[in-house]
Order: sequence, then C-alpha cells, then structure tokens
Amino acid sequence: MHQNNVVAEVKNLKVYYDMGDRTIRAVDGIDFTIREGDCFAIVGESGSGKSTLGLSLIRLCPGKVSGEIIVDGVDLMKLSDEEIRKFRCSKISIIFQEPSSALNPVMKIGEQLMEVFTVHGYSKSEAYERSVKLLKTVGIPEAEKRMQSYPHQLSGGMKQRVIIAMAIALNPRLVIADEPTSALDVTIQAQILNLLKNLTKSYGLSTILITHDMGVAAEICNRIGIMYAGKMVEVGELESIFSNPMHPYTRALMTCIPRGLKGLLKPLPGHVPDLSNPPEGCRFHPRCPYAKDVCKKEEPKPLHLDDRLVLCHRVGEI
Amino acid sequence: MIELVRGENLSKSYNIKLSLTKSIKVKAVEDVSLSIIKNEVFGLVGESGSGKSTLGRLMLYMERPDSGKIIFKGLDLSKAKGEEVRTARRKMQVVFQNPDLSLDPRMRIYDTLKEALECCKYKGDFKERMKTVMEDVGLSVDALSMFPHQLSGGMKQRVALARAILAEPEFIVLDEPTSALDVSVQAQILNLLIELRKKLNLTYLFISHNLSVVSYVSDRVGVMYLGKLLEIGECDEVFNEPLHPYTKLLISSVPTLYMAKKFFAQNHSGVAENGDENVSGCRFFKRCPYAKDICKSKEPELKGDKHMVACHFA
Amino acid sequence: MMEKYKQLFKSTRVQLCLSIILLFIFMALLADIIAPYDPIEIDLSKSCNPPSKDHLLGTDELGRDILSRIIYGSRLTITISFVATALGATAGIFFGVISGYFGGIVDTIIQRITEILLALPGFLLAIMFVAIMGSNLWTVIVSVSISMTPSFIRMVRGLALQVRELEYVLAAKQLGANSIKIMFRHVIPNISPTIIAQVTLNLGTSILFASGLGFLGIGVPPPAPEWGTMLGTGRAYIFYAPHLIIFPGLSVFLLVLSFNIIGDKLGEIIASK
Repeated sequence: MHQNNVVAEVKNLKVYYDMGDRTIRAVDGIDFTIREGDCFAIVGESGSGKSTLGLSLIRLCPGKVSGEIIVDGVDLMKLSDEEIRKFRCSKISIIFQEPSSALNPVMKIGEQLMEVFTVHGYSKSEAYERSVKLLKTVGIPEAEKRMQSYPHQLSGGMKQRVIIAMAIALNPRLVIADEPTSALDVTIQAQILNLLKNLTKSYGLSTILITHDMGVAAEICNRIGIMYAGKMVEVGELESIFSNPMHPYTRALMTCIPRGLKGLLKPLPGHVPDLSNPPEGCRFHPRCPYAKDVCKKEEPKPLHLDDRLVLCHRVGEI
Repeated sequence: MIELVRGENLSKSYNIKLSLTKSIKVKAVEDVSLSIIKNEVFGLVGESGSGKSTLGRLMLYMERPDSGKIIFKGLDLSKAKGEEVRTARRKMQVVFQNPDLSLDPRMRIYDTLKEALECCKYKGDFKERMKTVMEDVGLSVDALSMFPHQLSGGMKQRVALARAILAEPEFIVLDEPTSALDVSVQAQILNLLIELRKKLNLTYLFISHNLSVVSYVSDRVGVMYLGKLLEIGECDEVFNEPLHPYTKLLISSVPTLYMAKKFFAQNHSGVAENGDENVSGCRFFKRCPYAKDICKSKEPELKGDKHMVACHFA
Repeated sequence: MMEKYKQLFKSTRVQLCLSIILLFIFMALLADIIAPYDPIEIDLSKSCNPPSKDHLLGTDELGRDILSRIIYGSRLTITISFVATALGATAGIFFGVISGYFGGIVDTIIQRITEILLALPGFLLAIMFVAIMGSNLWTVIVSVSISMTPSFIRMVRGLALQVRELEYVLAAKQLGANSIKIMFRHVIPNISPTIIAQVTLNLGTSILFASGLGFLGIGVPPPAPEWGTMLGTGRAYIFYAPHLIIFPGLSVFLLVLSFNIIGDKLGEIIASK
C-alpha cells in the first residue's frame, strides 16, 4: 500500500483571511501527501482550520491561499478559473456536512444528478443511464423511482447518499468529505461510513475525511492527520497513531473521549486559541501539560520518524 | 432508594398543520412511564425524533402531557395548586443544548443570574451567592460583567449550569448539554457535572444521542425509539448485554477507537420513518433483522424487573 | 452589538438623510424664529407670486409665503408622523407581544381582528376613520396610527413567537419568572432591533399618509399649513404657478425618502447578524 502512486500532494499550504484590522491564519503551513487508495482523516476541533483546509483544496475558499496543491500532477494554484471548474468533479470533488442544503430543493434528484454528466458532455440518455446506475451503487433502493423524487421526499441519510453519488459520478481521483455524517443519526452514520469505505475500495478512490470525531476516523481511514490551530501537529498511519500517539494534543484528544466506564476523563484545560493571534512558539503550549521554556519561544520543526510526522519539541522525552 | 420524580403513562402529541384542513398528529411520546431515583443519573438515549427531549420537558412539567401525570416527591403536579407547582418546578431545573440560545444575548451574566435569584426570592446577599456559584461551575467572578457573546461555548454552558443551581434544585434535566461543544471542552463539562452532583446532592436526567457520553455519566439508562422506551436498565448491563435489537444496533453503530468487528451495523439498512409509530405492532419491526409475524401485529410491553425491555424475543 | 450600529453612521447616505431629517426637526422647533412671515396671513395682492428676493419660495394663491408655510408645516408633519408612529407602534407591540407570547384563544381573537383590518388597505382605513370622526389634528394622528397598527401586530407577533420558544425564556419560566417580567425583560428587548427598523420606515409612511389625507382635503383642515393640503390646493395652479406644489412636494419627498433609507439600512444591519 505504501508504494502506491501519489494522488495529491500539498506543500506549505497557507490560508489567511483578511479581516481589515487583523489577519486570521486559519491554515498556516501544512504539508501532506495522499496516495492512491488512501483514506486520509483530518481530525481537529472547531476552529482548528480543518474545514478551511478542505475548501482550499478545491479552491473554493474565500481567503488568501498560497502554497502548492498538486493533484494528479497538476498544480491547482496555477490553473485559471475556467480550468479549475473543469477539474472539479472530474478529478476532485467534495461532500459537505449538511445534506439538505447541498441539494437544490426545487429540482428532482434525477435532474441534479444528470446535470453532472450533461455539463461534462454526455448525452441525455447516457446521463440518465449512468445516473440510475450510480444511485444503485450508493445503495438507494428503487433507483428509477427515486430519480423522480424531490430532495424533501428523502431522509437525511438518503440525501447524503445522493450527494455521494454526485461526488463520485465522474470517477474523480480524490474525494473530500467534510464532516459527511455529523448531521446524521448514529445508525445512519454507520451506514454512510460503510458506504464510503466500500466505495474507496471498489473504485480505487482516494478520500480525505474531515471530522471532529476520532471514532469516525478510526472507522474508515488508514492514515490520519491531527490539526490544531491551523497546523498539522501529527500525521501517520492510523494504527501507529492510535497505539502510540506522540504529540501531547493527540494524546489529550484520545483521553477526552468517554469510552466505557474507565475512571474520570482527563479534559484539556482552556480552549482553541484565536487564530488571528495564536500563541508564540508551539501553538499548543498554553494547554500542554509537558510545555517547557523552549515550547514558549520556538516554533517546533516537523520531525519525521519512519512514516510519522510530529510537530513537537519534546518527542521522545515524554 | 427514594424515588424523586415519576412520570406515569405520559403521552404527548403535536398537531402539524399541512394545509387549512389537513393536519397530522405526531406522537412525540406515547404511554411512557419513567421513575427517577434520588441521586442517580438517568441517561436517556435515542436518535433524533425519538421524543427524548419532549420526555425531558414533560418530566420538568415545562410541557403539559396530553395524558398521564408527573409526580415530584409524592406530589401529583397535575392536581397541585399553582403556587405548589411553581415551587416544585423551581426544584427541577434544566440545561439546554445550544449555549448560544440558553442565555439572553442582551443581558450581562450578572443580570441573568440576578433574575434567577429574584425568581427564587433569595433573601441573602446576591453578590456572595453568585460568587460561590460561579466558583462551583469553575468560572471567575470577572465573567459576571460580560455579555454572552464574549464567552466561549463551554463557558456559556457553565453559566447556564450556574443559573440552574442558583435555584437550589434537586433534579436537573440535561438536554444534550455537551453536544454543541468540542470534545476537549465536552470532557471538562462532563467532569464538572459529575463533581457538582456529588457536591450538591443532585439527580440528573441526562439526555443525549451520544452513547459514549451517556455511558460515562449514567447509573441507569433508557433507550427511546419513536416515542417509546424500549429498554431500561443499569448502565453497564444495557451497554454490555443489550436485550433489545434496537439497542444492539445503536451500540454497534457507534464509531469507536477500537476497530471491532461490527457485523450488525454493517448489514443494516433502513431508517426511522414518520408514521412508523402508528403501526399496530412493534415500532422497530421494519428495521429489525429478527422480526417475526407477532412483531407486526402485537406491540410488545416493557417487561422485566430491573432490566426492562420491550421485545417479544428478549 | 453596539459596533454594528456604529456602522450605520459610517454610511454617507445615512449621514445625508440624517442631516435632512435634523434640518426639518430644527425648522419645526424654531419655526417662530426663522419663518420670515406669518404662515396664515393672507395678502391677495401677492397671489401666486413666483420665487423672489422677498419670498424665497414664492407665494400661494392667497399670497401667503410658501417658505413660512413649509417651515410651520414641518411642525405639523413631524408631530403627526412621530405621534402617530409612537401610538401605532405601542399598540402594535402591546397586542403583538400578548398575541405571540400567550398564544391560544387570545392569539386567535387578536389575529382574526388583525386579519379583518389587514384586508382593507391601510390608507382606506385612515380615510374611513377621518370620514366618520371628522378631521382635525388628532383624528388625523389616530387614523394614521390605526392604519399601521395591524401590520405591526403581525410583525411583533411573529417575532414574539420565535423568542418565546428560545431556551433562555424556557429557563426563566422554569425558574418561575412571571409572564409580564419575561415579556419586558426578554421578549421585547430581543425583538427591539427589528421593531426600531420598522418604526423608522413607518415614520416615513405616516408622513405620506398624513399628506395624502391633506391632499384629498380631509387632513388637518385649512388654514393650517399642512404640506398635503398645500399640494391639494396648489394642484389647480399646476401649470400657472408650479412652485405652489414643487416645494411642498419636495419637502414630503425628501423627508419620506430619508426615513426610508435609514430604515432600510437599519434592517440590513439587523439582518446581517
């Protein structure tokens, strides 16, 4: 799996929002690589910049973006607006959190799905056939009948399936799923995660899953990146991160989640910093139980250990 | 074991107007009985639309049940006089899910708390009392002069909790108190709740869709589905040996950090549909992999002694 | 929250409109001092004189100084618009909040009555009232306020319905706070921004209504220098002496426009949150 082709590469990505009197550094220098068949989870709390990161990857982000985003050998940052529009959907697509606002309420499901094909040059009859097939693929029963349904006639889980169908319609290389199950009930969440997992396998898709829930990430991903205050503080294989989290924030996140009755949780003090004025040095130091003087002054440099990347001064000491 | 609050055969339905002449009745809670013991944390789990929040509001007597009664410390609230009801309700407080909506955006924290003290006709020194309560919920006194929008989500939830305990309640309904918070803040609030319960001798009804959170704080749990309680029991028992197929499905659907094999959840499809609560048989019938003929025709009763379950085959 | 309202005064359009309104208020307050002539003194020898050095805006058909009449008229217009809007808004808030907050049978009764009133155009309602009660300053004020009350009730009720279901109101109820306190402490303050925007818009509309009544000859009766009445009588001389209607018309136009622009901007600011 490790020798697979690289699908996407992100280098020194920065996204700044100019708010007049201050600049919000939502994403501040992030690097990662996605290989074919990868399901890469980006985990972080609200305000960590994870959604901004997702949007900037398909250049839908209103902020100032700099760095390199190379998908399938093309640097998205260098494409014109027209080129990026064609690139979206056919090579890279996105699934949003709220299924009800991602579909047009006055258009039939079938019309919306077929539009994806017709816009990219398919004939109407071909678009129809492909749409029906697609709905079947994402597990929607009575696909032909559903083509005639309006979004409000479908449940949240079904809508999310339709959106997934639209996202994979043109066989993209990379699908970005931004909290795809946060608006759904747990039993439905399990169904959708299962679907995503199967699609990744059978279509050879690469997926970036943005989530706040470590459990969701553990469910379907093979690699994971932990974001904190605009930085990726730890990246690595899922198993190795879960068995041996190196960054104190990763550890804290894992001890924060109630898992059965195992004594009192160890909550992290404080909250996520203001991204227009992040703390100096390591951004996590005010909340870190292991912080030393060096953490307050110097920003830690990325440390590569085998397949792992950690942003901490005290790796190995703690 | 002293009983604190009891709901008997509670039902509540809402009319939803579709057009001028057409309207449908949605049964949010249907014939539910629930007894909460003093000093326990009763966890109520269920998915959206299960009626768990409505049940919480009925237990608070915030909404009047269509039928059934609420008995708080031996007093039947439906038969009690106005003043008695008001005193009883003051002893039953509530913390809601959304920290942005639970505090009046136009009032400073001080005024919000002052209102609570005035309502309880508190005789002592307001400032002193506020100070102790703010300490109890882990906030500094400086926060008193602030407006809600100057506080973080976790801090707002702490203020909402402070307002609730100012009334010196015995029973608090926590309606998804941590669902809008980040995990690290959620853990802070959960620990605070556990601490306060010990310190102030409180009883909680903890409503959440998050099973791991409920299992962390609760002594007993109840599982709701489409307006009915399907299973009640000791927390450990329900989560380790669930009897109802729906509880099994719920538990196996929770994403965990251990990649356990989850045959049940992976082979399940179907959703809770509006109108399913009106079928004559078991309301989980359509989704249940074990369903037999009897499930379609006869509604199972909630049976059992300590660990109760409503299923023909449990 | 205050920062948002500061944004209002930063807009040059709003600044301009505000200065127009202040200018008229200033004129109304100091009419006795700044008006060059008596507004009701008739001098038929000067009938319909065009603007000149002596009479900056000319004279009307009875030789009265138009500038003085506009200055004194602003007193009437502003009084009518402010008092009528205050009355209408107060009644609207009162019935609207009660209707929305309590719901049930009270709500049904208030809403049915409101619907009946809304079925008639507001201006027609005002005309009917004045026709029955006779026209003087007070009937004009009351008729204008009646015409705006139903829509106020509607708006306030909708807002109150939203607020009463909010968690902080439920929490206050659980604590045993009484309804009147909740209404004054939580409901009204939280719906006030929208009400303020609506009131500003209504200040403009009520000027239009009052002048409309005057134009039809059922407003504040002559010889009072009411702008609408001036327009109504001046209409006969529109080709012969257009200044008779240009200047009162311009006054109505400027004042109404100013209130509307400020009201719109306020609404925009409230919606942006």
